[in-house]
Amino acid sequence: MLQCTDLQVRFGNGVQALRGVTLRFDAGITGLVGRNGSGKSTLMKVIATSITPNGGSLAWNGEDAVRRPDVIRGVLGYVPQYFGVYQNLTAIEFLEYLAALRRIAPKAARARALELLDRLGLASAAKRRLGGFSGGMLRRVGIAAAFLGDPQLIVLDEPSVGLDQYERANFVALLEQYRDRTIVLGTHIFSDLAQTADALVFMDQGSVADSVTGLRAGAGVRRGEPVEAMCERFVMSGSPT
Amino acid sequence: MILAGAAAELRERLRDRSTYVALFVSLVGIGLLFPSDGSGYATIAATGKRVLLSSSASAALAAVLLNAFFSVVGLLAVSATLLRDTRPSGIGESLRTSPASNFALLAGRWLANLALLAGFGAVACVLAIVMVWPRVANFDPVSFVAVYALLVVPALVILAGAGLVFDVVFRGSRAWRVTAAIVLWLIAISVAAIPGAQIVDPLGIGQFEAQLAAAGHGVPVSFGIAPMSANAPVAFSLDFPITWGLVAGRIAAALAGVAIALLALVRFPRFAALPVRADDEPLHVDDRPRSAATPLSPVRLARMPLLVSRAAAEVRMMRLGGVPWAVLSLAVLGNVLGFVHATTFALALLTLVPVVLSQRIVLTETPLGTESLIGTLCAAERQYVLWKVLALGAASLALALPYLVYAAAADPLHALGLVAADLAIVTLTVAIGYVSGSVMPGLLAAGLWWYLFSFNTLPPAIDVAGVHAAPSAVAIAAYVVAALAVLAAACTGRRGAALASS
Ligand SMILES: Nc1ncnc2c1ncn2[C@@H]1O[C@H](COP(=O)(O)OP(=O)(O)O)[C@@H](O)[C@H]1O
Ligand SMILES: [Mg+2]
Repeated sequence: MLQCTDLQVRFGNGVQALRGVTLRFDAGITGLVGRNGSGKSTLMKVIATSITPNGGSLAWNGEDAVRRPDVIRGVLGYVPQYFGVYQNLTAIEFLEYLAALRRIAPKAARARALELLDRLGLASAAKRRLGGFSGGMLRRVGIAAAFLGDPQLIVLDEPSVGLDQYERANFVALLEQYRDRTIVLGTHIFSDLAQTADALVFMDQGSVADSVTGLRAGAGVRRGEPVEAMCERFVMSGSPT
Repeated sequence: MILAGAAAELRERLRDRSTYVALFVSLVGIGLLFPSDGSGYATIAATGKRVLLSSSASAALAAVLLNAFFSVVGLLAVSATLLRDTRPSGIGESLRTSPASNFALLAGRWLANLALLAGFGAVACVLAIVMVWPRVANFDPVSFVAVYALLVVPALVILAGAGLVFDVVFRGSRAWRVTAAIVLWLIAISVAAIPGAQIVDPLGIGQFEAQLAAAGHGVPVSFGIAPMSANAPVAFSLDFPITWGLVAGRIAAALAGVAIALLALVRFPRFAALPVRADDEPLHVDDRPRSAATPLSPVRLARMPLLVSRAAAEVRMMRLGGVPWAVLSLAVLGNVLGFVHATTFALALLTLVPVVLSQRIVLTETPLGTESLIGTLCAAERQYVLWKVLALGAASLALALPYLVYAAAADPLHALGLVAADLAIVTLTVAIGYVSGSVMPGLLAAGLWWYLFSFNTLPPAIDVAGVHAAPSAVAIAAYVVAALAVLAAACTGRRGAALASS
């Protein structure tokens, strides 16, 4: 269980990207929805311990993750919005490298990386250099990186950009399998959320505008309205309910 | 985990062509400063006479030159990946959110730095042996390698550590790193000048000069490029014996290098792998991978009507970073410190720039993907080639400007020769790159060119860099004509498949 309390983030250029975000993420898939610039990526960066907030607290199972980021890092799988790679390494080499950083034994890492690449439709490209990958291929390498090891907390920042329907179905199937973990999914592709999300958080100008839970129980429908329509309405008009 | 990190880093860099560009530049630098006995210049001279070097003294010279050169170019090479990690490629985010400690991440980098530099040093050693063997009577490879290693290894250890520290402290800023490298250089040279401290002089310059002074017995010895008639007599012969004092001094220097690395590993909390404070985070646009953040939209670029703005755009696309800095600083240092015969050194060095530039432009262009866009937008591909040549010529001439002015005042023909060589080399490398679709042939051709015409005494008349002799007006005209002919051939030639497709 991840608890964010009154998170504040101010960037060097004076932009206040998070203005007191308080949220609880339980096991299951929580979708982050909001316009570009609403602070989704910033929130995910804070959760992934990529940046430390200027104020507020972050706790993973009750442990303070701002002071001790390792409590999150040890259990984290994270795809940043801009997932950087070493251009000259092959997909498998790069994943093995990231696995080594997470202290996964080399043999297990290789097997796992190959399995993930296969599941994401990249088996034939496993031994090609990342410099030649298309945007959608790199996104899938990023997804594979997030699922290396056995992550308890999975943070995915626009993971399905550039994926075609088939690839997206593979991705959704992978998500389903990890439903018992805590998954934060920021995306503009609302069909992914409609298929998977347990909860939604609507963000606007660095604050939480609204949130809904219990979506799976309601089979992806709330008060008769499908998730996709709800998300679309929020982005278009700023009001989800 | 540290080893896995080091292996990945090293692999990444060994597969990066810019590594080989750096290596090539280093080797050219060494080659330039390592003349044969019959050549028109000498790097060590005593009152107009040559100094005859033993195997060990040649090794010491090669080591000192490599160290001096690496303290700027090598430093850029070792820290380049870290720079790319922290901002442009965004891999920094993956690293700093991993459970690996900063110590492990940095230690992996340090090992990779060290391995890379050691590889450079080994290649340079082999090259130096190949150059020196025929030129030294009774050449002894064992004493050559021993002296070389003794002088080079501690310097590389220091550089590998300094690469880390600089990146940590300057957060990837290239200009600052180069400046710091130069300060390091100045410190090293100052240490070399203090009689008692010579023994720990990190670059080995001090020890070498001490030997020179002892062997010359008060004869004014110049260490640098001095013009020399081809059959100049020998002033004295120089040896470089290995003493216990020397060994102890080098061990101390190597330990200092390890200490520098440890300082970075343990002391500095501002490494990019740490969680950055939000107000410390680089600007939003910088988060994006470089390939996505084109400095100028290709569409705007291709439509730019004016030659000048188009050339300026091309120069911006090159993202030269610290390269002009490094080159200019080296040249200025050469002048200020009086190590070298200023004009020749500066001219020779500055005609090397366009070779690197032309490679960079071919290198950077293709991954950006603007190549194909421009290809479809430009009325004709040949126009594109023309732009490149003009932009490169303008960039390198702008870099050379202070020296052109300087040289023109002293010797107008030299200055003209530089311009002609500039044009010809740029044209040649770009044209070959364009037709072959690959970077390597152009690089090799340029290397061969330099080797044949300038480092060797082959035809001094067409050595427009003036390493051996002042260029003749006819040679200069011939260069310009040849450049234009190559350009014409490239414009009508077929575009290389690799360049077009990737
Ligand atoms: N590194 C940064 N430096 C300065 N401003 C930033 C940085 N990253 C994000 N911002 C700003 O913070 C706000 C939120 O950005 P972000 O979290 O990326 O939004 P989203 O992911 O919802 O599109 C935006 O106004 C953005 O311009
Ligand atoms: Mg975002």
